[in-house]
Parts: sequence; structure tokens; C-alpha cells
Amino acid sequence: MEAIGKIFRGDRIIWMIFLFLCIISIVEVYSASSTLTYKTDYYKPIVKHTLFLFLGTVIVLILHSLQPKFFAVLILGIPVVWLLLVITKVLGSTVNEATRTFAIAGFNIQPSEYAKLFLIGATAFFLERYKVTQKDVFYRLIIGIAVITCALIMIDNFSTAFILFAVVIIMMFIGQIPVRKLLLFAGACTVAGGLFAASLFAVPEASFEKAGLKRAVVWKKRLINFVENDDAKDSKENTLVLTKDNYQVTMGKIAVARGGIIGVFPGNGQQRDFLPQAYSDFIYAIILEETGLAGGLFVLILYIVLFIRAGIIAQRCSRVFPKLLVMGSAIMIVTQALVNMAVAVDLIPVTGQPLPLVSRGINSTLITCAFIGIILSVSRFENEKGIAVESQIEKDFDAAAAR
Amino acid sequence: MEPENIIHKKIQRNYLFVALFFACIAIAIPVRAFYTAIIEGQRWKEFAESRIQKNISVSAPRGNIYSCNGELMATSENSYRLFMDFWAEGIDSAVFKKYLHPLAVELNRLLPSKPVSHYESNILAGWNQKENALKQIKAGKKAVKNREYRLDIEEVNYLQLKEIRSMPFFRLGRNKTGLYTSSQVLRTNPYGTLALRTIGSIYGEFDKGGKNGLELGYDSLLRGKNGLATSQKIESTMIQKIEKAPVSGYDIVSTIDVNIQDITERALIEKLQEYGAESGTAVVMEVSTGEIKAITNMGKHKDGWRETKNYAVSDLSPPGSTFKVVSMMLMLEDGLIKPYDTVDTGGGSYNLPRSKFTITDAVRVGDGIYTASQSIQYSSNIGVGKLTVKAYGNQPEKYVEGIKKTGFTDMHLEIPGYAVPVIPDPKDPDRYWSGTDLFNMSYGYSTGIPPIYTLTFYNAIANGGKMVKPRFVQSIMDGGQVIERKKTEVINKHICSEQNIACIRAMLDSVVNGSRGTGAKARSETVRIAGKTGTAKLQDGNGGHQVTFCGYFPANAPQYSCIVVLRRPQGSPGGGYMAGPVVKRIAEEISGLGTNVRDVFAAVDTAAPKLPAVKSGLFKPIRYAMKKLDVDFNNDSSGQWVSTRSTEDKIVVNDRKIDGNLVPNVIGMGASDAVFALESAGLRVSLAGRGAVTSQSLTAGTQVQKGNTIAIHLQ
Repeated sequence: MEAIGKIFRGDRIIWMIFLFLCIISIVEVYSASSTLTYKTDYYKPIVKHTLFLFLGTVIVLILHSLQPKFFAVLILGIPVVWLLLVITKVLGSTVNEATRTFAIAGFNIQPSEYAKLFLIGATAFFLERYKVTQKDVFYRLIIGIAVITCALIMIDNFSTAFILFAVVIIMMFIGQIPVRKLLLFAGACTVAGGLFAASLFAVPEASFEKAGLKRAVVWKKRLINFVENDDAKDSKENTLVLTKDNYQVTMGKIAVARGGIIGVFPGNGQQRDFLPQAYSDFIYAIILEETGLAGGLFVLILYIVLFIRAGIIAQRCSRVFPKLLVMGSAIMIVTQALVNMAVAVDLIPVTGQPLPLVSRGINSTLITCAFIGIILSVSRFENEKGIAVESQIEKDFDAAAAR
Repeated sequence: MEPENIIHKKIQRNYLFVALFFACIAIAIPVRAFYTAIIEGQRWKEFAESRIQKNISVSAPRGNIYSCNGELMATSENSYRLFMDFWAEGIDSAVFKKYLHPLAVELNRLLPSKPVSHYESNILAGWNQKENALKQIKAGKKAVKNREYRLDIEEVNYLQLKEIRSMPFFRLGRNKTGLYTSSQVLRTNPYGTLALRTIGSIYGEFDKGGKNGLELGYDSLLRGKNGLATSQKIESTMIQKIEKAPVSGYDIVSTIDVNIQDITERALIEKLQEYGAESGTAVVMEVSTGEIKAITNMGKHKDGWRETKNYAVSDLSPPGSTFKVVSMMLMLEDGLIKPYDTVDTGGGSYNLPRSKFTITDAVRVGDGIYTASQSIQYSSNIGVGKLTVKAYGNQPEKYVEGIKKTGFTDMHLEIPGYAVPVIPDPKDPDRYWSGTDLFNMSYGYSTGIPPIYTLTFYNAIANGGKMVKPRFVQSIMDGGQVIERKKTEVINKHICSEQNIACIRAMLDSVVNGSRGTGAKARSETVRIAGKTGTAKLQDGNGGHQVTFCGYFPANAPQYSCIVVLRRPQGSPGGGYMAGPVVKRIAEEISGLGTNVRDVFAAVDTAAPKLPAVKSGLFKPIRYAMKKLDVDFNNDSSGQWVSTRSTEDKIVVNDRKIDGNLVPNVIGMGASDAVFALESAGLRVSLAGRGAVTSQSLTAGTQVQKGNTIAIHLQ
């Protein structure tokens, strides 16, 4: 036990959450990826996923041994991400009219995932600069970086761009950018967004296609679908007709309904065969089907505890950068989790957000692990009690070395 | 600037605001999930159920029918019909037009029955149909979207389908070409019509199962148990999930021996042809077991001879003179005559007392005074008739009872639709027992007896008096394991005393091998055959005769019994000279097969051993076989392929040139060598018959067109 404590240092609760999420992930991804197995052998997808989680754990271990101040280097990742986003647009593979990934050495790199990490690092860093200098240039810098990054992402992945941008705004709100400024900016954004939404309906679809914005048609469909779907449901009972557009949502609902309170137990789910992204975007629906409302609630609580715990860790910080870094990391993880869950239970329109650490996918898994590593690092070094523990461990090591 | 700790407090306060906002969403999620799962749950579950089609029957694979040597006589095969959906999303007009011609060329190569132009125009017609409909729709009119354009291409088997799927254009797959198939199971008979009526056939609708023959008789075993599946639509495709796996049907191993069957068929057809008969039946039965080794019913069709109605088991024509033996046996057994009792047949013509009927004999030997044996040997109607009337005139019921007790009653055959002998009975209140009935019955009239019953009786004589039931099935197998081995069933342990059997056998031997016996034409130098001829007027109102020979061989130690019936032969009818030679040929060829029969006769020719017949073909195995058998041959050939020729004392082997680009000469080769040579040259082979190749459809030495089909005939 003591040996484990020496390797897995930092906040125990965060570690516990990490462990639980990993276990849930392995079980549910194994169950949900049945559709992937028929082309290869049974264990290949799950072995690969377990390997990713293992790799992620290594990343957590590395990052949590670094001093928080070191994470300032994250800002250097911003230009790299921009470059990757451009490369993806040029070289990437297209899925569902979206070019989100490109392959390097057998791995599909999804730059928007890395953008999450670096943008949050940069935001925390510049917010501290802003606090120290009170210069608007840092505020504008944040806005500028966020706008460019999100604009690059938006072309192919609107929801990620939107979520990322929202998280940056929230961080600025927490990081003491005056609300007046934020409101002004938010107003501008709303107007721009409204104009854009209007243009979706005003401009003919063919023009979008010509302009290389085929995704616009998909957004429009989803928007219409979300608005209309609810109306149709209330007015006509039991006359549901499956269409290409309501297919995923309906299959998700059937999963939730089949699950009931305690679920049909892992491995017995059926909807994984019908949901095209059962192991990723709709994994929460599969969790609800196989472990019921009880299991679904447990997973939700894990993220909530993570959020609360991150707040406590941040509270102990004496400096602003690590504090905001921890908060930003937690917000990013939990936002994605809430969006994924909300999609699965049909609270919001279908978007492709993974359930952090649980969904299958190397990019998301590694980045979430990086966030966890950062939170753990801060919990180790920005904490008086923690530092005392650390120094005691170091002393033990020294004593052992001396013997 | 605010103090550090206040800023930290404010940061923490704002984090709390975010936490509260998240908390709202976090509460909404389980509430929403609860609503869907519990409040709406039933509805969603019902909806999911409604998308599942339940209890879909999954056809079980039907069992095969094998010959007794394991050759496949009936099996099931999938056949595929080709359709094109020209509305498939991925069809590219340019690609389609570019590859249409190469595709048609390939289709013609695979299925040469139709020209390239046919395939091309047929596919193009479907394309144009869609183009026209598209124009209509664009013009705002209504048009039918035909998504299942049936290609005018014959139904293909799985291997052909695989090839078609790799052809130009079609290799792009379902989405980009619209090519799809519907499959149905076909029952095929790899040996063609060989014993087809007895093997039987099934209904066009596969699940209805057997229509006749063993297919019907053993239908419940062959068909297996259908499984159950549920079917569910996933996006646009129906996915079937097996809930209960189907159980394959059992395989049936019939008693039919393909070699004997082939011999029997060809021997029968030869004579049917020669005498221009309407139809014929031939059955070969193994004496000790009752196994039917061959059964054929050939009828004349426009295009040659084909398996027709199963006369062997169902025909109720009068048996004719073959039945005299039954009368003779009963009289001997009842002690009413002795073999050397005489009967005066007069001038070969006899007026039945108290009737206007006149009975004549076909032949007259000597003074017409015959012993009982001779009345069988010369097949005298008058002789047997007078003897029988003398013996049973005042007790006809004893005669009829004797017939029935012998075994001429329902034998419960495995072939559905078999008939039961019709034998008039003086005790039958519904039928008037005429004074001439006994006389007529004694030589094979007034009764109706299917050939197989007559054969069974003769088989009993051959079997030393033990009558065994004719069997068509040897065993029943499940996945290669024998689960039931059919046993020989004894109908009558002793149809008569051993002494009388010997008497009867001597009579039957004299019919064929005695002087002036009616069966002389069945006499063979290599196999001693015994039997009885029969010629009967057909009673169905259309006139004509049916001629029969029923017997067994080798006469001294019978192995097989055999009946041959020819219906309505042209010319003066005679069972002896028409049907007799068929039995002779069957007997001789069966003895040549290397079955046990040969052992009995092997002694005949030891002084001058005959050279085996050596087929042409690959030299290496030929050389090996000849060396092993100590056959003399010239060993100076060096080529891969050789042709062979027999001289008096040795086999002469000559090189045969086979050039990869020229059609090989395969005359004289066995099937496997011929097919190997032809396929190596890039030809497809369609093969008929058995033995050695006697003709080939493409001339040897001409340039090979790769992929063409060559037909070869073996004999």
C-alpha cells in the first residue's frame, strides 16, 4: 500500500475516480465495440483500447511528477495545433463530410483534442499575466488565440469548437475578466452566431458545398431535427417513423428504456448493434442500458466528484496559474462528460463529444489523462500538506538510498 | 489592484457559480433518463419490439442421398438470380458506360449460352429504364423507381457468382453497381437421371420437400428441423439473428450401386431402342440382402430416353409366363405333382372346357407331351394351365391362398406409390370367380403384379427359398455418422422345401441353358444365368405386349437377381429374345466389375490371362500400375502423356504430344486425366458418361480459346 502511494502520488480521490472510469471504460467499450469485432478478431479493439488507457496512465504518471509551473510550456503547443489543424484539412480523411483526423504511423491524430489541452493551458497562463499586469493585451490575446483555434476547428467540428470556446469564456469569467467585457464579447458572438444560423437557411445548400463547407448542411439538418423532433413526439403518440435523422436518438432512447433502474448487465445490451457510435458518442446510452439508471448515476457522480475535488485542489493553490489550470482542466472534462450524457438522453442535439476516459479513442483518452496528470501535479505541489507528504517520501527515499 | 487573497476568493466564488450551473445540467440528465426509462419506457420498448420480426423460419439443409459406394445422388445447392438496382447511390454513369462492354464480354465467357450483345443490351435496357424514369421525375411527372431490375442471365451457382462479382464494374460492389442477388436452394442430381425415379425429386418450393421416390419416402428424415430467427432492420438492411439453429437433415445411403445402375440403364436402353419399345424397366437385386443395386424405368421422349414413371414398383400389368413358376412351385409344394409328371399339350392349341377361349403355345417341341419341367422350359401355357387345373380345379382357393402365403401381398416398400399385387380370390364376394380364372392365373393372366414382386419371388428361389424384402436404403447417416443401418427383412423363411427349390432352380436353369429353352438368348459364356421368360398382352386397352425376363446369376451360386421388362416392343414379342439379352448383358458386365461375382468365374480363363484394359493418360501412374500388375509393356516412352494400345500379349505405349496452346487429344483417357489435360490447357470441361473418352467436342490440335467449354463423352 505504501509502495503504491509512492508511485501514485497526489490526490487519492482523483486517482480513485481515474481508476473507476478506466474500469468502466474497459467493460463498456468491450461490450459496445462488438460492431467493430466482426471484421477482425474478438479482442483486437479492446486490447487496443486497454493499451491506450495504459499509455494514458503512463502520461498521468509523468505529468503528475512535474512541477505545475512547468505547464506554462503548454502555450507553445498553440502554433503546433494550428499547424496540425491546417494539415488535417489538407491531408485528413473524411468521415461524414467532416475531416477531423489524419494518420501518422497508424494513429489517427485528431488535432482538435490537443487544442483542448493547449488552449486551456494558454488561457490559464495569460489570465495569470492579466491578473499580474492588469493589461488588456492579455485579455485580447486570449480572445484572439481562442477565436483562431476555434475557427479552425469549427469548419469540421462545430460542437468541439463551441464547447472549447465556451470553456475559455467560463475560464475568463472565473479568472476575473470583468463581466462587462465578457458580456460585450458574448453579445458580439451571439449576433455573429445568429447571422450564421440565419445564413444556413438563407444560402442554398449547393453554395455551401461549393465553398467547401459541406458540414453546414449537416448542422442545418441537426438543428431542424432537434427542433422538430420534440414537437412531433408530443403531438402524435406511437406513430414514430424511423428516419435517418432521428435514428440515433431513437436507438439511444430504446437503450435507456431497456436499461430501466438496474440495467440488463454488461454484455447483454442490444442497442450497441444499432447505434453507429456505441463505443464513443453514445457510450452513455450503452452504460444506461447495461447498468441502468443506477450505473448511469454512478458515472455522473464520478464526474461531479472530480469537479468538486478539482475545486478543493484549486482552493489550496497559492498561485493563479495552477489554480486556473486545475479549474480549466476540470471544466473541460466535465463539460464534455455532461454534453455526451445530455446527448445520450436527448437533452441536446446529437454532437460527437466523447465521454472523457470512457469513450474509445486514443486522442481523447490521452488528452483526458493529461488533464488528470495536471490536476494531480497541482494537488501534489500546490498544497502545504501535500508538500509535507512529498518531502517525507523524498526523505524515505534518501534514507533507503543511504542504507 | 486587489489583494491576492481576495482575487483567489473571487476566483473560487466564480468556480462555485460554474459548479451550480453544472449541477443543474447534472440533475437534468438523470431526470431525463428516468423519464425515458420509466415513464416512457414501455413505449420505447414496444417500439423496439415492433421492429423485430419474430419466428422467421430458417430452412434446415436437406440431407443428401448417396449411392451405396458413397457417390452423391442428390444434394442441395444454392442458385442465385441476379438483379441490378440502377438507383443505387454510388453508380457513376461514366464508370458504368466505360465498363459495360468489358463486363458483357466477361459474362459471355462465363456463360456462353448467350452472346456478348445480349448481355450488353440487357443491362443497358435496365439503365435506360432508370434514365427515362429520372427524366420523368425531373419533369415533375410520376415514374416508377424499379430498384429490382432482373438481369436476363441464367441462375448461377456460388462459384459462378463469385466470378461474376469479380468482373469489371461488378467488382465495385453493391453500392456502386447496384448488383445484388436472390438465392434459392435447388436440389441437384450429380449423376443426372441415373435411378432418378427411385432417388426421387422434390417440389419446386423447397420447403414442401419430397415429391416422389426416396426423397418422399424418407422426407421426414432428409428435411431436418427448421430453425427460428428474428429479423431486425438496422439502418437500411435487415439483419437476421438465429434464435434456434436449424438441424440438418439426415443423409440417406441408398442401396443403388452407380456402376450397376449405369450398366443396367445402358443395357436396357440398347434393347428399348432396338425394338422401338415404349418403355422399359430393369431392376437388379442382391440375392442375400434384398438390396436393390439398380432400378431403372426408361420411357421414350422426344429427345431420347428418360426416367419415367416408376413402373418397377407400381405397374399392375399381368406378369405373364414368369408367373408359371409360382404355379409350378405351389403344385410341387402341395405334393400335387412331381417334376416328371407329363401333360399333353396337344397340337399347341387348346380349347378351354365350357368356354370359348382357345389357348395356344408359342412353341411346340416334339410330340407336345411335356413333363412338368419341360412345360416351364418351353413355357407352355397349355401345359402349366392343364396341370394347375388338374391340381386345384376343385380347390382354387387353396391355389390363391398359396400365392398369397408365398409373399404376394403388401411388402411395405420404401418407395411411396408402390402397388400391391392384385390377385383374384374365389372367396371374394365382390368379384365373380370365373371358371377360366384358375387356368388364366396359372400362366400369368387375370392378375396384376408389379415387376418388383416377381423379382422378389425369383430372388427367393435364388436365395434357397428365403424371401427377403427388397430394400432401397442401406443406412441413415447424421453428419458422417451412421445412425441406423437397415437390416434385411425376411418376408417368408421358406417359400417351399429345399428339395422343391432345387427342382425349380433346375427348371429355370433349363429355360436358359437347356435345349430349346425359351430363354436361350440369355445364355452367357461367362456367367451362368437361370430364369424365366414372359410375354403378356397388356390389358390397358391399347393393345401391345410386355415382355419380361426374370432370373438370377450365377445360377449355381446366385449373387444377383434381375428382372427386365420391355413394354410394347415392335415386332413379334418374345420375352426370351427381347428381354433375355438385356439380363445377359447386365450379368456379364456386373461380373466384369470385379465384385464377388468375378471370383466365382475367375477360374474360367486362367490358362490365357487377359491383359487389362489400359486407358491413355499420364504415363507415370500408368507405368506404376502396369509394373505392379506385371503387365508387359514397352518401357521406352518418355513423355508425360501417353496413348495406349493392347496387342495380344502386351500393352503398347506411345508418347502423346500435348501442347499448352492446342486443344489436347484426350480420346482414350480416363475422366480425371482428360479433365486435368483439358483444364491445364485453359478449357472448361463438361463431361458425360463413364469409362474412357470416346469423343471430344473441340478438335484436337486446334488453337485453344481460353475459357471455352469442351464437352467430352466417356464410354
